[in-house]
Amino acid sequence: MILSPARTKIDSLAKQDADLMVFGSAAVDITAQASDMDASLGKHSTSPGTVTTSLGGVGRNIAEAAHRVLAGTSSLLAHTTLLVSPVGNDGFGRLLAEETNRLGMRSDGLLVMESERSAVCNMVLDGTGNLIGGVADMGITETLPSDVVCKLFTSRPTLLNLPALLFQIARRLQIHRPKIVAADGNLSESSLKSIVQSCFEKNIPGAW
Amino acid sequence: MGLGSQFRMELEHLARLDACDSAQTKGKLSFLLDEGIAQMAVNLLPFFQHLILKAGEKGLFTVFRIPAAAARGSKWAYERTNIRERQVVAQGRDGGIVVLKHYPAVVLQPTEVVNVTGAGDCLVGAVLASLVRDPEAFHSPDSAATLIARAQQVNDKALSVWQSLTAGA
Repeated sequence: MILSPARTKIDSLAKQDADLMVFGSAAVDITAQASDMDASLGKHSTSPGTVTTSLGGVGRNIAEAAHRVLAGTSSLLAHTTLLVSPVGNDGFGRLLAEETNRLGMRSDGLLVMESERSAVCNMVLDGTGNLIGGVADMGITETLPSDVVCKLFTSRPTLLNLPALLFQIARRLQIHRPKIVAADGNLSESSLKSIVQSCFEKNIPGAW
Repeated sequence: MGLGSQFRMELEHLARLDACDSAQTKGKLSFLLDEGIAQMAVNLLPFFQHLILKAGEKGLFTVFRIPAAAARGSKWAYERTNIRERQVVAQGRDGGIVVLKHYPAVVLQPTEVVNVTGAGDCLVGAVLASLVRDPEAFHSPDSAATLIARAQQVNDKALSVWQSLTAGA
């Protein structure tokens, strides 16, 4: 399922602590706003307007906020926050990785799922900014498999069977135990369960 | 938790307060009891040591316990229930301390609020940033107040810029 690291700097980051790990969704928001102020959007046709992308997803939002606060306090804390999110091997996934890097955040927690689509939330607004509708493709968040989460926390022998990325992350988790693990409620029940269980076993405080 | 009728009475006092001192339009804190929020939070305390409830314009409500082992060294041991300070402090039968404290929302002018999307996530992120640096921030009244104030600052900043964080969730 998880085959390749997107654009990771595992080696250079391998020795850096991740005191705060946030498990959750990372999504691309595509907001389309019509430029016409009064007329409602015509159906069965396109309307002129603006289309912009930005990053979203509860887990990613939380990680970005924490990162901004910490990195703003001291440059030494710039790699303290690690966002662990599944992304697809697609353009949106690469956008997520690139933009995450551009924010100065580490992206080595983004797990590339070969057979899944990156989470995208598409919103259409009328000229005044009211939401008319949209499509949210967030299924990938549910797929963060619980056995992967489990393996991120558990010990050496089983790790040999894991892809390189997971092995690296898991190894880092062993060496640099996070002080706090946070998870967003959009993850599947089984993922949440394994995160809670792993934290409990390792006596890591969790934030939900 | 072994909290008695005194505790209940104090909670009822707290619930009579306005959610915000400077703006009566934000309603009362009665929703905390009427909707069973405070009761549920206390019931969850054995499983979750700290609960931070975001209530939008009604502010933040924190419910947390300090285990008996840490209680003696904690400054909360010298704190008492003080309705004006919006706090109820109770000694558990096991020697632990249970604190319920309300923090009113910071009043923003409608014109200052540009975008509410993701503002709550910002608050959570700011709380985590504080806890990473001081995992025991809630163990002292001062550091708890600083943590909440910082989180509210970040939250307000998020509300007042157009594109801080976005939805997708």
